[in-house]
Amino acid sequence: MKIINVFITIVLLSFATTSLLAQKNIKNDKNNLKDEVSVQVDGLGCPFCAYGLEKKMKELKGVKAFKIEMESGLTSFTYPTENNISIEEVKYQVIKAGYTPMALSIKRADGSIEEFEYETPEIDYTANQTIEFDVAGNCNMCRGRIERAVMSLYGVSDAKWNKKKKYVTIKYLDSQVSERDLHEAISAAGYDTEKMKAMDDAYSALPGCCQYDRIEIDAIVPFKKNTSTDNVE
Amino acid sequence: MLNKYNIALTTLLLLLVGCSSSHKEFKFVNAIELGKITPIGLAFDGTDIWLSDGDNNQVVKINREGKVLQKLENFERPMHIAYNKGNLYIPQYGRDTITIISKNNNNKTLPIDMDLDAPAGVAVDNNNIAIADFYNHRVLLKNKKGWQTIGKKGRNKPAEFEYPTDVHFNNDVLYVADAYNHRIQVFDLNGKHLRTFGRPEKMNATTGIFVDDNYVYATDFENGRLLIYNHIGQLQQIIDAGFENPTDVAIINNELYVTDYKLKKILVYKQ
Repeated sequence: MKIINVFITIVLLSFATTSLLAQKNIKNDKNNLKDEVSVQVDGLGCPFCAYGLEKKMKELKGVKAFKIEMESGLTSFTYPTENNISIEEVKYQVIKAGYTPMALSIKRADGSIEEFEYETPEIDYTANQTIEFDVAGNCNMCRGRIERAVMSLYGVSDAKWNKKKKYVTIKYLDSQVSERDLHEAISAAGYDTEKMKAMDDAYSALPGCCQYDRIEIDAIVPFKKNTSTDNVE
Repeated sequence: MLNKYNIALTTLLLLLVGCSSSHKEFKFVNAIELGKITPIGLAFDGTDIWLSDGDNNQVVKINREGKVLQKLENFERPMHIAYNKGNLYIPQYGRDTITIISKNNNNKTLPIDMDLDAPAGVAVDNNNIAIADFYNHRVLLKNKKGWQTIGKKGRNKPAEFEYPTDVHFNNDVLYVADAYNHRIQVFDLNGKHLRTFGRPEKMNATTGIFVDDNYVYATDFENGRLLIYNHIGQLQQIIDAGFENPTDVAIINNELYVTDYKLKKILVYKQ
């Protein structure tokens, strides 16, 4: 009888142990499951970009097997299934890295696939504004400085200064550059505009032959509000 | 009569000024093959050349024939390095730190009061340090008063940056490669903006900058060019042949050294 009891106990113990081990293995397998993420970005051209995208992706703790192709902008990595990464989380990191996610897919460990594809909005980057205002100056050298100062701004497509009549005509895109930006660029180059005087040291730095008669600004005329950088003031 | 005399005198003076500031062109001398090294940053220690190799997470010392003399490994995306008074300064883009390696190969981390997000370049001169803080769109400057920040994200105004990638001091003036604003910005040691130039040349990512007593040199990554300006921003020369993706530049013993990431070479020029 005693022998039977011992035998039953051994059988029960080994059954329990096997069951526990099986459960543990299932849990381990679940922990080792990986989702495969691939992202196609635009604008990836230099190592700074590639390393930057890598850096921002690795902020998602658990990223492994990170690969990036500089030429195509294709990025891939694996991520623990149990963390259930979402399309939105990946998109957020791509945008944080300074890029647009063009296509994105997550292949789940169970074989299911989630995808996202970017629809390119049609944006018109051509100038949509033309403005004219008075700018002081004397000569062709002044013209060069005034036009270069304005053309240096992102969003300006054309600038012409009229030497005889002392005004500038500028074509620009108002979502990129504001009227105030135009005046600031010219005054920083040492030239008074009808709304903004040049700093004295910028004026003094002009060659003697370019030191024009300063404009007296009687009243402050407000700048036109637009969608550009006025709001950062 | 007097008027005509004045015009003639002015013309003569302008010609004289033009002649005195004439630029002697840099011409290609040779190329140094780097094998598997993908060079980003370049620094000279007085004898040999240090290169940061971003793709391979290492910093390498080579001689001027390209022979590898020393390898320092286990960095995370080392970028535009600097050498000053026996110390090599290595910005680790992936770790948000500046590592300092001494002559004896001891290393320490540069203490900074502020958080970096992808330091892309460092410059050291006397007691001044500057860091291009890429993802924060700003420059960190340490002068005798301590650390301060210069600038914020933006496209047009002075001291606005769009991913600055490199910095360099010359005669107490700080020059910044404002990479994706495609321009160079210049500041004094108090962080005051002095001037901006480079936009008319339509650079596409101003990645590396070096300044000596004669010129400002800037690499134009996507366009495969090197632009050379005088200190007030007047363009002196464009070298647009021979490069694919230049990343950094330095004058070493009167020769111009330019690293090219894609070609895995250093191209050398001389006046």
